[in-house]
Amino acid sequence: MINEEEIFGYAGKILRVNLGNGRIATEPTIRYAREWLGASGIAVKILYDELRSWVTPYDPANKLIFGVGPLIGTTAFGANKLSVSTLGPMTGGWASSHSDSYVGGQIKYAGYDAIVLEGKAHSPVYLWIHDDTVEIRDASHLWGKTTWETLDLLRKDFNDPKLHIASIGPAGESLVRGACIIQDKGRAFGRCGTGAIMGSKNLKAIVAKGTGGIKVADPKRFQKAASQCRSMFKNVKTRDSFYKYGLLSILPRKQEVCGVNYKNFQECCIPDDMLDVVDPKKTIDKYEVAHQSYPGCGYGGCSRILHITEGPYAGLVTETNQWETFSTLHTRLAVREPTFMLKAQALCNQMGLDVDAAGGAIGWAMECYQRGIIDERDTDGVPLNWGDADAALEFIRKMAYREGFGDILAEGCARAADIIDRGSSYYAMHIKGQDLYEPCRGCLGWCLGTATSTRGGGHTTGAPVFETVPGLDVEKTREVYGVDNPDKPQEYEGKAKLVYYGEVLQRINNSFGVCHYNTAYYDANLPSLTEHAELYSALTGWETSVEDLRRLAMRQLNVEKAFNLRFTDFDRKDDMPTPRDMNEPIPSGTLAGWKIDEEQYNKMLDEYYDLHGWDRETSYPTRKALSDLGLKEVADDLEKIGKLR
Amino acid sequence: MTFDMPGCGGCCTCEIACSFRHTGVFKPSVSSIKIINREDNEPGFRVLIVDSEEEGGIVCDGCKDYEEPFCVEICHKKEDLQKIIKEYLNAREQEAKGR
Repeated sequence: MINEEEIFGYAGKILRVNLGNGRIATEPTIRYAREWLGASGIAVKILYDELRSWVTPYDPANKLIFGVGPLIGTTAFGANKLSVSTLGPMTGGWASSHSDSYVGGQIKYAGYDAIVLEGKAHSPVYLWIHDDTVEIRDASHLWGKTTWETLDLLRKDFNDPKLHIASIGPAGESLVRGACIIQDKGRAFGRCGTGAIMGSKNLKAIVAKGTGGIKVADPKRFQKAASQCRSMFKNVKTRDSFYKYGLLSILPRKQEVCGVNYKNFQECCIPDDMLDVVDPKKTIDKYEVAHQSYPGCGYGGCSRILHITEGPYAGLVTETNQWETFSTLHTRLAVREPTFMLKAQALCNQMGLDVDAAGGAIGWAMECYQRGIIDERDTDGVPLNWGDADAALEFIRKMAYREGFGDILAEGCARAADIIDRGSSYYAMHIKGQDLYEPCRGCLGWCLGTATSTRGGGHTTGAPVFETVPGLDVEKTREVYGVDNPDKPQEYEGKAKLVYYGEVLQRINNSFGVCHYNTAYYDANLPSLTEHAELYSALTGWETSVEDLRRLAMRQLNVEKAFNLRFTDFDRKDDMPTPRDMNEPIPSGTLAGWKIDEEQYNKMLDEYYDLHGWDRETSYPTRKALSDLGLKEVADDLEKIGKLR
Repeated sequence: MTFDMPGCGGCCTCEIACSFRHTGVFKPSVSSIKIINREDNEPGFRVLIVDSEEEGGIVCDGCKDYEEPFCVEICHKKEDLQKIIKEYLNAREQEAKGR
């Protein structure tokens, strides 16, 4: 008999809000938490069970779930990642994203481990959560506003300068497929288009404030484990540069290993003379005015607030971007103005548009323009030359409002290429319909993890990042990941195993609400599954081993897979890299001439399927693999639709 | 009592830690330390140390029964915060003497 009252680590309740009929209810978290771990675990269980196969992403019957992991709100390292999951408009399948900030903690202190948003409001609304008070409020004065304006207006309305919100901008309201949700002003739920789902529900924002507490099963044990984890950060070689520059510190290493997206992946390095011009460290040093960090971060933060005082974007005050914006917009579009990355990210955040969706679509368009596939007759009279920052910013705005050619780009590069056709799809760099941002050539673990990701082209559900970042501790990585060659990104051997470990670790991070960069995802000296198991056991009082975590993560992955099989036609072909990555050798740099070997890639993919107990020919799971994870009902479901092997 | 702390990144982990030490529960609404925005609304943060219950928290005692305040222990800029706590405790002491 489950005691529904006594639960540690979790807040204890799941909030269900039907925006269509106004019904607000709660249910005990314990109904899910033992078998469906944390934020993304509970979300995948609810979405898989409750979405019928006829539901489409923008259907009011779709559900959007915010999940607060069990470590959020505690002193655990990096525990600040709020999760959001849904049936997504970008791939048409599993969509899940995580973003670091304060809203997750507030939701949890208010008493909720998750918010399940159902139905569609008849007019624009926002959700106000203050402990037991949950209200659906009119947002007509906020509709049409940017996320920055929305935050300022709500803080004014509530007379609370420390109010934290998650909101959408014009892109979410316009149902841009790559629209994202933004926390406050600077932190995005990137990829997957979750902002468009929020927009489809007429939900402008979630505003949360909590005053309650989170109980710990064994406070002394938790305190000891959390302190030990924090002490591990001193072993990270790149700790100081990460604290100062965040992921922008990795540019020299990325350039060295051909890991930079230049001109929509035509090249994997930027020209040497551009390297010095755009050096993001110099930009940070020049314009830094304040530090920025989020709850629990073991580095003490990875961000800065910058005030640009000169140049085309003088006057802009914004949080610094991380590597993704730099690679997917700045270098991809070959822009040389060093502050463009800040302006482009600020604009994307204001519009509530994913930087990768913007970079993917505009990068594709610029390459099509370069090749004469499209011209000014397609692009509203705007030349789309590489390096044209003004044109890039104009099309970010046009995408967000679905204006002119921006309406086509708002569909994402894969669909935009289908609409334009003329042989342009080769230049649409995507996996499963979701835009890519970082080269897959030259680093095979990353390539395999990105290509097989259930959310499509994502790097937070299996792809190992350490292959191409500085400071790799080879011995420690061997020990944690169990492979002999973590320092050999161009070797096919061991990569399936590497991705499998990454799938488990990254799912546990996502479930617990922990930033990947605070874990062995980034540096093997940082906490891994062993430390997670100890912390979770101490927090909840449920003794949990590394093997338990592996099983729980694999249950999630297999249900994500089954979710995709229900809503899409994905199979083995969708686990392959893009045609460009398969066909073209790396054109320049230290790996010039290196090319993915198709036969060897396929052998690596076979090995990956074998590790999961999935069929090599179709990628579908086998009954045995699902049954071993206690997912017999899922096997029965897949059998009914002919997708079980 | 509020203090400038230019190096503070606003992570608020100190608030979480403080409540845990004093109550055994993670409940920052009752903590003795609060991270607040700068008065001029410019980027950056200030530190408020709760010196009376009216401010909505447990009055800070500098974790007198412990080797080090937990907020200081967990802060990335611990020297800066340590200085603030010392300054606060000194001010309290002076105030008590003056009564």
